[in-house]
Amino acid sequence: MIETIKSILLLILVGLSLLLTYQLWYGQVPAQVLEQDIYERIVVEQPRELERVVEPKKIALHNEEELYVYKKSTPDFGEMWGLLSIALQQISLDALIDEDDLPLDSRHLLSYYMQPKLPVGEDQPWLNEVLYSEIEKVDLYTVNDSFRLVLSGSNNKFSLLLPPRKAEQFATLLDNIQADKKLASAFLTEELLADHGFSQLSIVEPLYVPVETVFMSEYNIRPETLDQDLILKTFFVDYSMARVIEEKEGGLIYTDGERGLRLTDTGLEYSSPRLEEGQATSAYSEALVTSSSLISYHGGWPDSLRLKSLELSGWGDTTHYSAEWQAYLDGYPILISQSIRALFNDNGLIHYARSFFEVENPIIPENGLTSAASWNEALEKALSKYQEGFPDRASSIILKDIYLGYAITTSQSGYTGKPVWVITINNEQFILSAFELEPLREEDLL
Amino acid sequence: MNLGRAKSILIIAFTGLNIFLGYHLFWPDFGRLTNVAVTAEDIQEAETILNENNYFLETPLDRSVQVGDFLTVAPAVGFQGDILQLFIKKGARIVEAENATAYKVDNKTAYVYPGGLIRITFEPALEFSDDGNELAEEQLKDKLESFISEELIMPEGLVYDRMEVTDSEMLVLNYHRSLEGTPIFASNLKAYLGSGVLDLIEISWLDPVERVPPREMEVISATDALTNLVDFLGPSDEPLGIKGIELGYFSAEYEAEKWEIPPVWRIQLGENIYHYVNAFTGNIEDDTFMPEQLP
Repeated sequence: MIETIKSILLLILVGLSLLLTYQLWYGQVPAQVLEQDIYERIVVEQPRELERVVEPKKIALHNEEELYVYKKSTPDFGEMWGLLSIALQQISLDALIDEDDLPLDSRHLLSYYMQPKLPVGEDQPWLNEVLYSEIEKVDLYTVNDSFRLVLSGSNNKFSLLLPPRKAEQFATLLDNIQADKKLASAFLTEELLADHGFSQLSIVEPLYVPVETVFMSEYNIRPETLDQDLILKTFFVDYSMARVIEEKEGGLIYTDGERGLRLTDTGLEYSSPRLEEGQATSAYSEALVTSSSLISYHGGWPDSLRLKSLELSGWGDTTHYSAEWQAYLDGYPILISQSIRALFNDNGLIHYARSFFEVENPIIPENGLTSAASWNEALEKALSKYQEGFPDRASSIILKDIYLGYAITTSQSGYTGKPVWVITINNEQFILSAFELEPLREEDLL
Repeated sequence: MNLGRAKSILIIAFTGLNIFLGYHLFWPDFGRLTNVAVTAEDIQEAETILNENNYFLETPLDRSVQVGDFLTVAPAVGFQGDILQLFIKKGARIVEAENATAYKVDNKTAYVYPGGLIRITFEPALEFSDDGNELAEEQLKDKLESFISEELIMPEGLVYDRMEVTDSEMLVLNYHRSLEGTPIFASNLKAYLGSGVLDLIEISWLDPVERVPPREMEVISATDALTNLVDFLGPSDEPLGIKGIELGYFSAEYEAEKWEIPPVWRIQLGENIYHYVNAFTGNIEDDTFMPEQLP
């Protein structure tokens, strides 16, 4: 009997030792693999390459006596910028020409206003054989039968002769621009302002205004739908540590004590204030790429969105980059109080706000599209509002900006994109309905 | 040697082999089996870091493995309503107040704020001395508690915490809510006394809505919480004693419908400095920042 028990016990022990040896040899998972298992893999949008991060704020087409302005989401804007971008990527150092002055018979064809600035030079996709610089404006001229590019930065200016094949491509593009989509504009000068009775105004930046009647319509719009679960995972590596705060107004805040993510019906906002105490040491072009990664990772970069600005700022010993995006509809900027914005430094993302609206359908009245008030009527109204508000600031009035856009307004039925004139006089912004020129109430604006 | 003896030797040999293999397979978790999260070495290591930064451990540490969960809380609307009813029954009238609804009866005014905070002021201040002689902490506590139960309403789960002296020489008696023995530091009552008189009672009372059991997790050890805090605060200019470390629930106050609060290690530095270390993440919970720019 004892021998039988011993045999069974021995068999069990042999079996156990084999099992333990197997476990010890094959069964243990290395620590780093365990860690990967804890942090869930997520699939997000691929960040844009630097070539697709920067786009011009506007492109002016000079055609004989007429002038046309193109902005993001207008037909032909993408082709115009794409052609220049590729040309600048492919042109070699041989194309550089010494002549600073253009011959008298040269004809101005296109002006590209680069905002944010275009980084060119070593290690950049554009003109990587020249010294590094940041370009604010690119002008295309035709001189005799050749095409010449003039690139201007804040401290430098240089000219390039387009190779014949590139020149031909530009010529074809200019011939094929959709005539029916063109809207004649005027370059606003102090003389033109004076002609319209605004002699007290001065201008510091290049501004264009439409000189033809502009027909616009209101749009039904809705906030973009984001996958909240995915968004949560992009901000919190281990989101099981994040706790939830339900706001009275319906918003949700997730926080782990160091960072907070607020989700509302109209967008999201993220803050990690302890990262503020740091420096932003990356170069401008690297920061452009980082900004692309951030927006792609945290919600994606919709096609109608353009990087509006990228600035290095800070206080005390701390510095950070601030990136801001602008949405467009039919070539007109969409105004929103909380645009898409990211603040980051070497420590990471400090602050991110995102509020993006998708267009559902235009609201076309029974009697057709309505024409917007002319630029001079809008300016007159804005100027009178300015003078009412600031009667003591009669001198040195600067017209800083004037453009048509869409403002997002809220009502019981939902969100509407309303055509507006946006006029900035000194530092005061006036938002007037494009049709009636009535100031929009602040409480109606989103 | 017979077969029986051979089996015995093999049994002993294989038992030894299995112990050896089992040790190598499970030794990192042996500490868990004995329910100790903090070993003597851990304490020694933590003390070295603390001392190097001019902090000195003056309290015993809880060495057991502990688990925690998130606790969902909401402003104690019912309690707030009961206080108001009490004032109304006594004939209170509504008086003007900034950002609050105020009810005044006799020398008491109750200010009720949207976030759930109640402030009860006394004008003139209420006598809180023994014929002009200052009361000791225990006497003050007894007197205050009897005053609350007789004149106001005793909040559920009220537990005395501590007395502190403010920069303006006021005495503050601090209470908090206890849930099954675990303090909810975010739910508290404070009584402000100056020169033998009761000036103000501030009640920020929260109701526990639910514990979130699927998210029950092991909390970080007390030594980890201490080293995280020192890492956050940096070295102290003068020697600072660590007087207490206690597990409870805490978060910043929010004007919200309800919210989850994490388990925290509350660490007392010196006499009056308290810090809260998130017992899951190790983050310092003193000044949680909330994004609030979106509409």
